Amino acid sequence: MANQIGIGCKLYYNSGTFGSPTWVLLTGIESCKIGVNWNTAEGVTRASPVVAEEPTTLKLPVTGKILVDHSADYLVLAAAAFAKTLLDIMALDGGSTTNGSEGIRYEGKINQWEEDQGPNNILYRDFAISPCLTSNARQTVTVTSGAPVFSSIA
Amino acid sequence: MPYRIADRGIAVADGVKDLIQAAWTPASPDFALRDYVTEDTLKALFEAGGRQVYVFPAGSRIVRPLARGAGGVTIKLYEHKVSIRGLEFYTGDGRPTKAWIDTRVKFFGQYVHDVLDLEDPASYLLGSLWTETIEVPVWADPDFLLGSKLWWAECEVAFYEKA
Repeated sequence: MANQIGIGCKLYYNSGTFGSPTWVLLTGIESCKIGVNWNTAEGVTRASPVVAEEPTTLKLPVTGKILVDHSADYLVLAAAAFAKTLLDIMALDGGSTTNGSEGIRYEGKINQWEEDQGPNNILYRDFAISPCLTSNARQTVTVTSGAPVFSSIA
Repeated sequence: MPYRIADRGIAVADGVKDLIQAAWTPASPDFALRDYVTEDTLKALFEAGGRQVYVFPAGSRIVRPLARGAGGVTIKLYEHKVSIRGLEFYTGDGRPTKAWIDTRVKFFGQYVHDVLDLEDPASYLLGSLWTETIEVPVWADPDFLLGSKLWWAECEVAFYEKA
């Protein structure tokens, strides 16, 4: 697989059901970042001065910038930001049919939706999405045989 | 349909000419034209008389990608620069008068600079281009005025669009 570059990465939302998703590409994304940030618990014993850390809980934010073009997919995010509605998202480092693409998928809510309206700015929204309370699993994704394959994050 | 940057640059210049023409409504021998200024232009102008405004594409570029887009085609910010020249020979005796020059300077400000300062989305050129910068570096070139009794004004406009 060739080296991955940011411009080729994809962020999708699901317009179908969780079990039978229909992935819609968000075309206005300028940049995006998948955070995999474990909180840790420290374990220290007298046997060693080294501070050992064990992962405990996981923060899994997806942050980025989207062009304010009032397109249909932009408006999906805008509506969800203010209505606090759940979005099923999938962030990949390639296309959803490109074998080897990987990323994460979960149901989350938008908790940041900022717009810098400087007079000379092309307008973007800085957004942040985090997993929300849901019965559906948060998942890692690997595209295999031309389709996303999901694995629950234990 | 792929974005053809040269075709678009020419279309932008055509649009600029149309805007100036619509605001000015020149009567023969005056006219606005989307064409390049050459020595033949000046020769024809000298013979025909009148006031002429020439509009031509000056350059285009991709400023930067804006978004990932779809199908391997990113959404980009494009710049199209357009140059405008205002020309008229003084046909009176002696040197061009201050009042004659002032009239042309005001004309160029009103029907070129002011007409092309587009900031309301409803008035964007060709529906999608806004004025990023607009400059009149020359209202009345002194060398042409003194040497040829020719009023020569220049305006440079940079339009941006997302595509």
